[in-house]
Formats: sequence, structure tokens, C-alpha cells
Amino acid sequence: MLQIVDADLHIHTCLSPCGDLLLSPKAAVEAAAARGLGLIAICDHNSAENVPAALRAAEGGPVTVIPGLEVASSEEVHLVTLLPTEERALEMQALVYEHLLPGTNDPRLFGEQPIVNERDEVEGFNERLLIGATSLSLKALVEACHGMDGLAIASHVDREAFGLIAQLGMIPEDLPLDAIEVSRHGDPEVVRASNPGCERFPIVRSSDAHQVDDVGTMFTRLRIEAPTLAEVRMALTGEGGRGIVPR
Amino acid sequence: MTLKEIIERFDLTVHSGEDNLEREVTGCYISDMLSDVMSNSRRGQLWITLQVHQNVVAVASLRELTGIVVIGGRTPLEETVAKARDEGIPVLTSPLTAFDLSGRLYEAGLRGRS
Amino acid sequence: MDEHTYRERFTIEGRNLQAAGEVSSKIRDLLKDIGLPHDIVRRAAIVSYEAEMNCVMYADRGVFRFVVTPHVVVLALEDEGPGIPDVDVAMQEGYSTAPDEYREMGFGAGMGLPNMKKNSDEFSITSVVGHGTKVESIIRISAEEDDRDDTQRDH
Repeated sequence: MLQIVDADLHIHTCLSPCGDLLLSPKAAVEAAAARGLGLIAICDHNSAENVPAALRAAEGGPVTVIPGLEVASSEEVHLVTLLPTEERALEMQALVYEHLLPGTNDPRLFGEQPIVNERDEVEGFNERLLIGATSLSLKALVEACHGMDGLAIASHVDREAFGLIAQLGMIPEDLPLDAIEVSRHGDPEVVRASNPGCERFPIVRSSDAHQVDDVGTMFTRLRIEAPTLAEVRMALTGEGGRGIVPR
Repeated sequence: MTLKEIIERFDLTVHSGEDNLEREVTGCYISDMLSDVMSNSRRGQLWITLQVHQNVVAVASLRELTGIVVIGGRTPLEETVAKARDEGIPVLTSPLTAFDLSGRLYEAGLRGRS
Repeated sequence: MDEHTYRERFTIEGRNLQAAGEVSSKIRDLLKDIGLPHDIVRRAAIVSYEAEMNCVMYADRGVFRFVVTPHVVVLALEDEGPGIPDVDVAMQEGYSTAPDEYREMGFGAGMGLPNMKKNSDEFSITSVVGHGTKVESIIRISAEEDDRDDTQRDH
């Protein structure tokens, strides 16, 4: 039976550079629950190391977590990749780590990048330059994501910084994105109007939260049978009565 | 050549980092890709870019660049200037295009590789 | 003083979330520079980070003392702040689901004390309500450290 589920498919944790230290995986899940969201995706920059904790923190609760990463392509376009399982997310992470700009994080500029478990306990610090870009093109990333049964969504296309349209000047014709994301600061009408040809992509709205208070400040209302990635895919394509509910 | 001299000679507008203008500029780097600047710029260089978002400040800090010139008459975002003030990084602007400004800097003797 | 002993003292300003993590970052860099095994650095980084975060979130200010000898790393943080009413409760795993009365006093989720203890070879905590809290962690450096099975690998 179909139901309405509010989904915020782009939330960071303290692991992300410039992520608030108080936004632990558990805090993200709790904030989502407080906002009445049924589905969230944890998408840290170029890493999935806080995904397992988020999955465990959400167990038995009202919020379902989809494993994800926000990957930076070689063109410096940000791409939200949503994966069906923790294992697939770690597979994407391995690919990203292999192709990430080498270098060590500078905590003073980008934060500590702590890896935190579901009990809010710090287990380590990610030393990689997660702020950097990978050497993988956007096309290669989308293909790799699909190869892992994931969904690829161009992050905040309305924004200049690392947004698809700003970086490339347009949405490439042959890029098989599953959706484009308009941030809470953007207007989907404006995006549609200024980018003819983008009608073929469904638009999702997400918070891109880097702080606890921003979780769920923007979300996509879905009509789906259950809070799973497969159902999200159907909602994006309009299959089987699933869909995005206008608000 | 110090940053101050460059500012005066090429009529750049200063938005932040007023206390750090006496720095010696060792050369210039042009790029609009932050990952490129992170990999290929050199300490002491002046960065010329059209990017106005605040991430440029962190990159300039990381690479110990003397400053950032935002060209093309573009205006750095408020949060960019705020962050630059905190970090003491000079953010400057010029109405010229990257090409035109760079040409003049090159004529004045500045180079890419120090 | 033993020439192989390294000592440092840091002050931490309470309620300054902006600067949170700075001291533990410096400690981590110092330990790396000294060349200590990866696992020791990781554990010391976790202990200092949790201690620093507690101080920043709950105390007015704190002093962090850090000593490294060829045999041990000692991390001691003494803060001036509200103190912890019931240390035994605070040391329990799952303290983050503390009763409301604790939350109202400002003790939010995860003071990380069990985590600090877990990563220390010796750990002590004393607290006086209305005065402050002192935590001390000792991590032993020994020849066996290099052979220790590192199950928590850095990626």
C-alpha cells in the first residue's frame, strides 16, 4: 500500500569537512525523527565512514537511512550517490579513495573529520583531504554508481559552488542522472526555466545539512510503498504509482 | 613586488586582509578549479579567479597564497569576505578579465613559476 | 628532567565551539612528529578529543596537560565548571540516554567518558559539583605496541 514519506536525501555528518562537530550520525537520525522524516540519506564528502553508525543508530526507529556519499568529480561537480547497502557504499568509498586528490586534512581549516559510532563515541579521525576532488569524471562516477545499483543525483544544481550547471555551463545531454537536486535556497521553476532540456530529470529537494538544525529544513515528499532505495527509484521514474508529491 | 604595490599599480579593490598587504608576491596562478589550485599553486602566489564562494579562502590558507583576486567585476560573497577577514587573507577585486589583468601583471615582471 | 620527556600545557576556553578540536589536533601532530605507533596516536587523539569536547561544551575553562616519556603518554584535563553529580552514572555505556534532569543541567548526549576509558590503559576521573572535573588518562608505550593487532585500521 502506498504511503507518503518525507525524505531528506542529502545530509552530512561531522565527518564532512565543514560539518558541525555536533552533527554525529546519531544526532542526524534523531533530528530527522524530530522533524517527522521517514527517510534520510547520509552523504558525507567523499567518504562513507559514518554511514554504518547512522544505520545502527536508526535501527528499530521511525527513520530509515540510505547509505550515500557526496562525491566531487574531476570537473568539481558534486554528485550525491545513494547506494542500496552499506557494502555498496563502502565499495563506492573505495573507488573514491583510490582517485581522491592526495594530501592530508588540515583540521584547522576543514575540521577534525571525526569517525563517530552510534553511541556518539569518536573512533578515529579521517586524515584524507575530503574537501578535495577525485580524478573521476562526472560521467565515470554516474556509471560507477549505476554499476553498484545506486542512484546518482546532481547536488544543488541551483548553486554556483560545485553545482553542475555552474561548473559545466549546462546539463550534459548524455549524462544519465537519476535526478537533479535543487537546494533550499533555490527555486525549481527558475532552474527549469533557465535550463531547457532539464525536464527529463526529476527534481528532488534536500537540506544539504551540515549542522543539526538544518536537517530536514528541505525535503522531498514521496509516494512510495516502503522507505527503500528501490522505491525511491520508482518514485523518480513514476513507476507503479510511485512519485514525487508536489508541495 | 609586494601585494600593496600590485594593488596600487593595478587599481585593485581591497575587501579583507588589510594587515597583510606588505607580503612579497612570488608569482601568480590562474585557475577556477579549487582542486587544481590545491595541487599546483605555490606558496606566496597571488591567485586570480572568478570563483566567489567561501571555499576559496580555505584553499588560499592551505596553500599559503598571498591573496586572491576575483576578476571580471565579480563580487565575492559576504560569507567569503567574512571568512577571509577571520583568516587574514587579502581578497581583492578587479573589473578586468583574467586575461587582461594577467597580461598586465606579466608585463610588470610577475611570472607563474617562481 | 629526563631529556626524553616532553611536556606541554594548553588552556582551553569553555563554550567556544569554534575552537573545539584545536588542542587535540596539536597533540595528535606532536605525537606523530615524535614517531609514536599509529595506534597510540589514534587512542591519544580520541581521548584528548573527547576530553576537549567535554570541556568546551560544559565547562568555563580548562587546563590540558600532556606528558610523553619513552614509556607513557599522559593526558590530564582539569576544568572549572559545573562538575558531574554522579560520576558512576556518567561512566556507564549508554549514558547518552541520561534522564531528563541531567539534560536540563546541560549534559547532552555522549560525554564520551566510557570511550575515553576504553582507549586508555589507566583512566581516572574526579569531579566536584560546582567546582569542576579532572580526567586523567595513561596510555602505555611499550615494545609490544608494534606487534599489537590493530583491528581498527585507518583507511
